[in-house]
Amino acid sequence: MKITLEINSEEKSLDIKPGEILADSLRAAGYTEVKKGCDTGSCGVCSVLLDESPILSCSFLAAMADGRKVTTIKGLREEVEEFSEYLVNEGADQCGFCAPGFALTVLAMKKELNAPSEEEIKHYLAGNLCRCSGYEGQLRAIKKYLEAGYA
Amino acid sequence: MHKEFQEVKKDRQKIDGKGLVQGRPAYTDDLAPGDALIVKLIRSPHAHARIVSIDASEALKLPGVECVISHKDVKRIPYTRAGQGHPEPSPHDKFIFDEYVRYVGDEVVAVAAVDEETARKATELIKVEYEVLEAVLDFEKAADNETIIHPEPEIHDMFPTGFEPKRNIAAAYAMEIGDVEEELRESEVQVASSYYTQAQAHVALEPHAAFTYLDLHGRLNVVTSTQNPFHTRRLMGQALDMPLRKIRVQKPRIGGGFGGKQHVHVEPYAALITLKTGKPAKVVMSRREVFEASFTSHQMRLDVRIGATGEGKINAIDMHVLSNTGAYGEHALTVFMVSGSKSLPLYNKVKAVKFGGKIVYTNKIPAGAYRGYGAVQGNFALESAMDELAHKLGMDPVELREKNMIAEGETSEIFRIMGEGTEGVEMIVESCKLDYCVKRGRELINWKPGQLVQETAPGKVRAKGVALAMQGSGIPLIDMGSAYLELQDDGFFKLHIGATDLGTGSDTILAQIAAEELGVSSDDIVVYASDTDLTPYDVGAYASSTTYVSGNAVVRAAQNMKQVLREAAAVKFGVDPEQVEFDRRELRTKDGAKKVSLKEFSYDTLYHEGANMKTLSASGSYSGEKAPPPYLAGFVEVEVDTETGEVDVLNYVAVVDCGTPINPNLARIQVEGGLLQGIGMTRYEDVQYNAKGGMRTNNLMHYKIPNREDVKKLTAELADSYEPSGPFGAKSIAEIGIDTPPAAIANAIYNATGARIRELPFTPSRVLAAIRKANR
Amino acid sequence: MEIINYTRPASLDEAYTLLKERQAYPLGGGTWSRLNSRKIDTAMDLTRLDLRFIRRIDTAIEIGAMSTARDLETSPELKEVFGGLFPRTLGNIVGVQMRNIVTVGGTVAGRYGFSDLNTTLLAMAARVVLYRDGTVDFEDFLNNRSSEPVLVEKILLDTGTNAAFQSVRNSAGDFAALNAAAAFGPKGWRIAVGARPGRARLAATAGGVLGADKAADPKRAEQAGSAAAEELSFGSDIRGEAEYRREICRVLVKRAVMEVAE
Repeated sequence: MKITLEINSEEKSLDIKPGEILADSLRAAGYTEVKKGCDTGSCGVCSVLLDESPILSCSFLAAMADGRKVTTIKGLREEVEEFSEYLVNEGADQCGFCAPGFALTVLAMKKELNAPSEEEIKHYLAGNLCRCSGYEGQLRAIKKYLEAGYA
Repeated sequence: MHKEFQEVKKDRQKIDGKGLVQGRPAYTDDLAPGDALIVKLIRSPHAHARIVSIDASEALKLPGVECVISHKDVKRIPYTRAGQGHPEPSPHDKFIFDEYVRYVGDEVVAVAAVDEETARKATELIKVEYEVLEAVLDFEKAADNETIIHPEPEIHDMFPTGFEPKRNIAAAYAMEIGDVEEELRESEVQVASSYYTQAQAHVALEPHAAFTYLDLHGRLNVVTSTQNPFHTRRLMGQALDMPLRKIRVQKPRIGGGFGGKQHVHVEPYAALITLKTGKPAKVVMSRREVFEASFTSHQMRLDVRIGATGEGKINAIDMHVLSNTGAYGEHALTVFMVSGSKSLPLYNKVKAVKFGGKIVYTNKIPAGAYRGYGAVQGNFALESAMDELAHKLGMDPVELREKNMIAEGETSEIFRIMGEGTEGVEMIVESCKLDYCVKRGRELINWKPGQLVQETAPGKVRAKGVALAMQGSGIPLIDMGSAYLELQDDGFFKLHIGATDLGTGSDTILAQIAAEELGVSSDDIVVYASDTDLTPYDVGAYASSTTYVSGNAVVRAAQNMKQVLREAAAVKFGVDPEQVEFDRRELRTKDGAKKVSLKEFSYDTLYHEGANMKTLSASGSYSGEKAPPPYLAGFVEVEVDTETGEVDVLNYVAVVDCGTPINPNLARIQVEGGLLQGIGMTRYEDVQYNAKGGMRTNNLMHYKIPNREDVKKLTAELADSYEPSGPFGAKSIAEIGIDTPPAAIANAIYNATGARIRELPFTPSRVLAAIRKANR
Repeated sequence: MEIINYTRPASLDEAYTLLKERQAYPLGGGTWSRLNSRKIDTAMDLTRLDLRFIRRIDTAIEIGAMSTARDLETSPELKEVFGGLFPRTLGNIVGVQMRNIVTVGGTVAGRYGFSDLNTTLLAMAARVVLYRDGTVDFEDFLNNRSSEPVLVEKILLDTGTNAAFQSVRNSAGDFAALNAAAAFGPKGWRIAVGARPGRARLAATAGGVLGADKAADPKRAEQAGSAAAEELSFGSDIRGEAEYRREICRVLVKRAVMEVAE
């Protein structure tokens, strides 16, 4: 079946199977920044924005995205550039496999929460797993990034 | 000793960091050609069986199915998948395909098709008939079991390792210094307990992936998520019976390793399809396959006895280990040996010490390399037993450790006796700030002897615990790394290294090391790594070797590069090379009469010097004569819910002596990441099976790794230390972080509740049961 | 999950017809269904039926079936009436990305044993409005084993209900090893326990122990916990053994009751 949606502000028409998950459709269409890590909706590396909300593209049928707006990390170049500076300054980027989905969720959090506490940050991002960093470096980066944003 | 540095001991940004965060194509699956055949593996549903028949006729009729390969189509060559030096200390006991399958997940058939869906459908159409055999699932009953897992005659070890497959023994070892029984008898206080560690899954977020193709010259190109491209080339040559000159292996960015990618997993299957069809082929493991059919850490039982004087001076330690290697023996002997060789020297003043045991085959997923590499298991047993001893002595656990722990300028006979599969190497400890680490850690956690427990609310108890650790820095006389430097026009250098960045930032820190030695900025070093055609040899990223071994190779290459520059400039200046200095991007005669900037010089040597034009390059290799251990003091505060058994980690403090941290930020993250992986192992990570040997925890819904709400706080600090043999004073840091959480948390739970738990992991259910038992 | 036909009904009537005449499979968020390997002839996407709402009407809260878990978690209406109950109930479900997909309708209709939300809804005496098939108590809905397909339109909650949710998880992002909810509403106390690991059940005796008085003391809360542990059945799986579940059932029920009573 055909679906038409907006990906990174571009209108796209994709030919998909009705049971296909969005992550597969996106990767097949060349959006390799959408990673696949677990197949069960458990790790968060496949995160994309559906309209303004972060979702797991591995747990969402592509057919359901018809007519909607999907944003991958590459659709938010300026914001990501800014945030990546903070993350890399802490050395928390590490293997980077979780990074696109993680960064995207951080950006969504910044829009959704107002001056979140450390606990709120951790809670919002709990679905983004990282095996490398132990999360502390990510937290240091996020706090500095948010502080700079509110300053 | 406290040198001023320009490029090392600096928080440089990881060179690939921003590109990865911004989602640029970087990993194996991102780079695979769109027309690659998709390869799927049919894996054994049985823990132990003989394949009676394989009928692929229906699958082959399916349009888009390219070919089907099974044991009938490949040469039967025993090999090992373990990425290790040559000859490998792991037995050659695995075949690409075999008539027998030895665990649920063992490879049976490879299918190649034009796309995912066709490949998947084809696997469903292939009928495999099995004769199911008795399986050995309990590792404590594996040795001399009537079921033999490896009866095949052609398997073998590469040198004597105690390999006795007819007894289901993959390897065995024993050593003793002094008379342990005698010393234990003479000791006023003794403890003796058995400790159990479970198998842990690596869970690198990128699943194992590889693609293969034939290049213009008909050579097999392998792009793979590996920790050791050169070993992979050698092992594939073995398994496929191909000369190594016909194979090129490249590692792009990889999404985490933790030891899980220190093996050949999917590469031979893609290669077989490419060799048969001439077409590119790709294998990407599903997460379920990663769980069921890559490797895990080694499950162990460790029996520990310690004898001490009434004042807490340790006389003797005995550690006896039974290790489960699963269906194949990758890293069987070496992981087992590290459980002793990287725990026992912590208490080096003993009069006698004994270590021994065996590694058995079972019909479970093979165990392999895993961050810590046995040291975690050894540490849990030894550091738990230390607290049991402290309790018996009525002594503060920290004081007991301070009385007995290793110090700078000392040695342990174990260094000489125990290597990895072979003898070790004598070593005087030239850098050891464990005393500082303990002191600082005690401050950070606010450790007060006799006041380690506090009830915060009804049913909630807080308590503290401690454990110390050591690791190594590469494997002496076995690991070797190399580097190549070349001056480019405009005056920058390319640095080619065989070393393998797993995401840790090793490409970045090796550039920092080169820059420091050359006296240039690390921005002027362009790194290319991990390609068997284009980069010099390196064993790869394991055994905490890269900073120390590959880093020292980079230092040597840079030293040689400076000499090459001076010699070339001497010709230009018409003086002896000894008269030339290279400093701050400038070459000049010592009297200052003649000088040229590096930039100008680079153009001259490549464009302006007529018959004297040449490429200026240098290389260097390093193989360590020692493996200086990093040290860590781990302190934890937990809160135990005594009604539900939940254990909350409030703060985990680790103070680490890693010598000079080349990049303090990246070093600290290594510690924090290691701690959390260790805390996951301590609290709930556990590879579990059903009664028939099928894995119950084969996805990330049922096998949980820590998320960011699982721990309240990690506090990692680095001690000021300098290792004379390391590059600019550096030692390793990649593994040691994982070592202490099991024992430190066990000790804290004991201090909180009086319940001593000797079996990992400490799930709420197990903790509650232990509390009830202790209170009875 | 393999889907042959994918439809997006434009009205509830159309959806109802597809359901009854073509046995169309109603998709909620689709997160759990997609892990299933079954083949679905016709799947219905209900996202265009205006079922995503949370509103207060007199003493009832209406929650549309296509409201996401995240909608409930962040709803100002729910927060005003029930305080932190819904963030507490839903907050451990994987992550915001998952909670932005999973729907109340899908959760309720799936009758999942592991569900946290269903335990809370059961304790709260929620009612389920089935399009054209009447309104049923969630308890009956949960226990109904008939395979007659229904279309969940919305969930009704009574604003006069106070409830609390408790769970034990082996790790923060895991399914509950056991969960429990206690609620005090117009009909008195109700105790529900889920992830036993079977689907949530009401502990009627435990509710009876507490009677019609909201002010429960610790002793009675403990008695209620013990009663629940006695009257309910528990099973073993990788998250805990039956005996462990029974043990912590006492604790969680006690704690949930005290939370409501205070």
